[in-house]
Amino acid sequence: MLRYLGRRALYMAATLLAISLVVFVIINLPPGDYVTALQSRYAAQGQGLTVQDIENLRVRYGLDGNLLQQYWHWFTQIVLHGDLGMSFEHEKPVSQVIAPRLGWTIAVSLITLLVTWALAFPIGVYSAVKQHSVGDYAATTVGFLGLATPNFLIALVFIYFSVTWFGSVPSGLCSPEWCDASWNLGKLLDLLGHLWIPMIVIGTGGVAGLVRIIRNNLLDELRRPYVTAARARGVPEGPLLRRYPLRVALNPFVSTIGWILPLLLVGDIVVGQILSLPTLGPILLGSLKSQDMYLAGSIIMVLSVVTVIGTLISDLLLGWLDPRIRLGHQR
Amino acid sequence: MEQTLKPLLEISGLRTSFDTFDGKVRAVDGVDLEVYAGRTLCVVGESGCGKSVTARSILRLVEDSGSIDAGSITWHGDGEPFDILSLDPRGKRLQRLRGGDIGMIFQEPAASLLPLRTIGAQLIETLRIHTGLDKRAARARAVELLDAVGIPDPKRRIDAYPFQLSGGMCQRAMIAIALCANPSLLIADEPTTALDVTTQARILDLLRDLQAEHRMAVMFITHDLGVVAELADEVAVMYLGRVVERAPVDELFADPKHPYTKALLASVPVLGRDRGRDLPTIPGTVPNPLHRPSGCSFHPRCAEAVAGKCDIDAPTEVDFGGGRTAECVLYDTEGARA
Amino acid sequence: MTLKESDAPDGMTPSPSEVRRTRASQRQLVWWAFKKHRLALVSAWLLAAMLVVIALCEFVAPFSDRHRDSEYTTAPPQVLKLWDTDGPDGFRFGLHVDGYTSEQDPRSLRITYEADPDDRVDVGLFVKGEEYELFGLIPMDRHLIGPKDVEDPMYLFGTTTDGQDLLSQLVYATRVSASVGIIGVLLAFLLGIVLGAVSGYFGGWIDNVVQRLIELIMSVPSIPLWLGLAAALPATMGPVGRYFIITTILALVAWTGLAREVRGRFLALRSEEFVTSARLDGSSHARVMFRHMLPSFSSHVIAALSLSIPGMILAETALSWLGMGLRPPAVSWGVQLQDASKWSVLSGAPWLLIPGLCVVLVVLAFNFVGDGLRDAADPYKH
Repeated sequence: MLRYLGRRALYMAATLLAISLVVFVIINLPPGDYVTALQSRYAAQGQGLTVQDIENLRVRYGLDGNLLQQYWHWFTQIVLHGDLGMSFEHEKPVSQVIAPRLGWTIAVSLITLLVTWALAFPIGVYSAVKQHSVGDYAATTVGFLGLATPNFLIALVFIYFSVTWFGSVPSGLCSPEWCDASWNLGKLLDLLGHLWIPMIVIGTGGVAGLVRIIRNNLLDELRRPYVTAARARGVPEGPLLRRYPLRVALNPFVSTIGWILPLLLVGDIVVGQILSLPTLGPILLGSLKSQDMYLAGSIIMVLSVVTVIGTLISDLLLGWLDPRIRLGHQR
Repeated sequence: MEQTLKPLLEISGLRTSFDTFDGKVRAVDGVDLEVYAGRTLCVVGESGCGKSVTARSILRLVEDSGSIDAGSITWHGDGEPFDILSLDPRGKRLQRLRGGDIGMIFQEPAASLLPLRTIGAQLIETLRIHTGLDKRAARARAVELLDAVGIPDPKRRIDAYPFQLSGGMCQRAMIAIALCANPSLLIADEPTTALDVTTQARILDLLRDLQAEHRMAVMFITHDLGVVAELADEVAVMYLGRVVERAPVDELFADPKHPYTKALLASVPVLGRDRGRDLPTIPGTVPNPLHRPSGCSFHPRCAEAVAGKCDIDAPTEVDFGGGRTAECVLYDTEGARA
Repeated sequence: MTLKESDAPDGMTPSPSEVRRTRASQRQLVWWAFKKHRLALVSAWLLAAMLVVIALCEFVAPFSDRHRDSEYTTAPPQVLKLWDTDGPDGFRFGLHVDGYTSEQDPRSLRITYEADPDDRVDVGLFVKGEEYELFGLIPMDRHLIGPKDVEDPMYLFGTTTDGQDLLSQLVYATRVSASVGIIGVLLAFLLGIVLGAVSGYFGGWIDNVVQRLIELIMSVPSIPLWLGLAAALPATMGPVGRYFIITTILALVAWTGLAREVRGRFLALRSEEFVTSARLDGSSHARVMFRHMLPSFSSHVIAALSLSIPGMILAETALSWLGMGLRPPAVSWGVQLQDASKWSVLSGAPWLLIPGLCVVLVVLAFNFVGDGLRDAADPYKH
């Protein structure tokens, strides 16, 4: 188990390093750098920067020297000082722009993840155990539709009905009267009242995908010899399902954290846009449009890190669940 | 002489079929068999002859695409005899029968155990279902059982996962699970096919010893005539979903009646006799059960087929007495050669 | 008593269907199995129809993609009628739609349109309309369907906020969006098949390197990556250049799944006898890989391709909708749906969501065809 853990952790570090490279490339893709962008902005406002100002800024962001040196400067600034650079759009350090929104992003994603699981697991199991039943066909059809519909389209349809029926669009995560209040039951209920819309919009694709995965896996497992063998020794059907095929079908389910988390984070980009949530999605889009690359790159970086951590957690869970992985008999 | 024996299990007119992509396949097409208490019945035949499906039908284990269409399977155990096929599929009695009265072991021991749970967990689970022992007592009993089936160092091995054990060890664990409730019948569905020859021999020895010790009946499914010679008291030969010949083991080897049995026996190499000559083989292959030949289903491959007779009417069963039957037109109803 | 081969009774000869099965080529077997999937077959026809529309897009669309009618902005869809009874001369046969009457709300200044049964717009098949060049070669001015008088409004799916015919736009958008999916997948496939084949065939450290690369790309959330790369494109770039770069970006991120699929197949086949014998016959590695091994699972590859197209289409749609993909004047489903983003517009013009319906339909169709093919790819399974 320790060896497995070590290997996973090492692998995660390598992935993070590689991701930082990709992000650095993205930051540097648009022509010009932060200082030239700032310069032209000031020029547009009729202000000029002195040569000395420019020189100071270039040194601060390590913009002189070759790309590798620039990368190293950028990377060490993050690791040693937590300095992600400046956002020229918001005119403050990137970390200050991201920090307050990161919590909400993770909260919305995690809650959606839990709800996604809570919905997908029983539906998938039912669908597999009662294959060819009406419920199975309904679940499969809804699943196909859910996978085929882009989540922003779901959001648009939602908005259409909400406007025609209620005359308004729910936006944000809290009503104005609660937003600045401190946490209490009322605020929590208000939050939950707002949360279900982004959850449906973000989570539909995830639920559809997971139902398909668990259904297919369980159908496979139900045909295995160990199921027949367990039945042959008198294990009653309920415990048989729980202790045997479900145990195995749980594995791919756990490993989905790795791909469902980014899916949810991405859903947030789209939904945040329409429903104006206080999450990272909307500012990522804004920063990309204005080529505020330190901010954009940092958000992509943060989202990737969250994904990688999610993958690590799912790997650990897998190791805990599956003795073959834990004892090194597989992978 | 066998007539005086008390049947433990009586299968009559069993028909089991499967829905496939190309139509309904009648895998078992009217099988009659008896298993006697304390004795070994070997069911022998080529792959696809329906022997495994027959065995699975007894414990109602045919999968979803299959169904038992007709027949009865009477269990004579301790109490009043009853038809297993009329039991509630989710009821307590069937559950007690499975693993309690009848134990079963399978062809692929490693695949028949869940890789995610230790063999101990799976054994203790079965023990507790059928014996009502508490956790600690069940664990102690489990260690004894593993020891009894010849697993070395059972105290440690009880916590091993199936993938940590060899195929032979897994089969021993399966046997321990099958025997944990002292069943009066053990169904063994080609338990040694997936094992290498030496392991195979050891498992067979173990089974024979355990049978003597527990005084249980064994229904042994195999395609290996060597195994039949070694284990069987009675033999049933199956072809395309039907029992074509039934006989005590010595008589079968000494005087096979059905042409299929003869052909089967002739294709087994005998040390000394067969050196330097080609072994006779049965011409053709087992037909697809979807397109069952008319009349006797063996006639296209039969060396003694009678044109105008075998290809038209299905043969009736001829009883020779003494537990011997054959399904062939070569014998008239009195058992004499036609 | 012994029977000779010649007079073997009937039971010995296999049934005609069995003969057909055993003698059929792999392709025929796959086709037979595929035909049994109703949904997949219907989907395949739908996709075929879509391909025809793509090819003949200028002819099928009533108007060109530049057509703009400022008189009718955000006008609702019209109903195509075959005859009318309350016209000036009683019952009259002939394709037509009702024209519009407009009304402006004095406070919001918003104009609303309604169908006007008294204003009959005659519609014809193969009518003369705007000029175009079919396949970019043949100059033509006939359109499959359109108003007999080019100046008349005929907007079967309504118009956009710019006064463009939604149906015509949709036809052009289908060409762009579907081709992004198909071309993108073909690009991804090229990368995936080469790297997957090499990885699975040679194994060892090559396999290790490729697998780590794939895992790395997969661990970066794809849409932010697409967004980041797309954001770097200069705003001045023309629509054609943008189209190709976006397609390439999508392909660069999407090849990993295909590569895994191909690798798995190669890994499984590597130790098969026919591969060994091909090697012993002196075939080169490349020949063994692409002439011997690849054809043996081509149906699986086609299925995987078909199943990857939806992801590509959905990605393009989302990217364009967010304003980071294709941009007007290029028109794709995502670009079209941008029109529906403002809820004040959408609430009065639900027909702007029709392109979304199109996305769902096409994605479903590709999924069904892919699933059908995947199931049919193992004809001996049953």
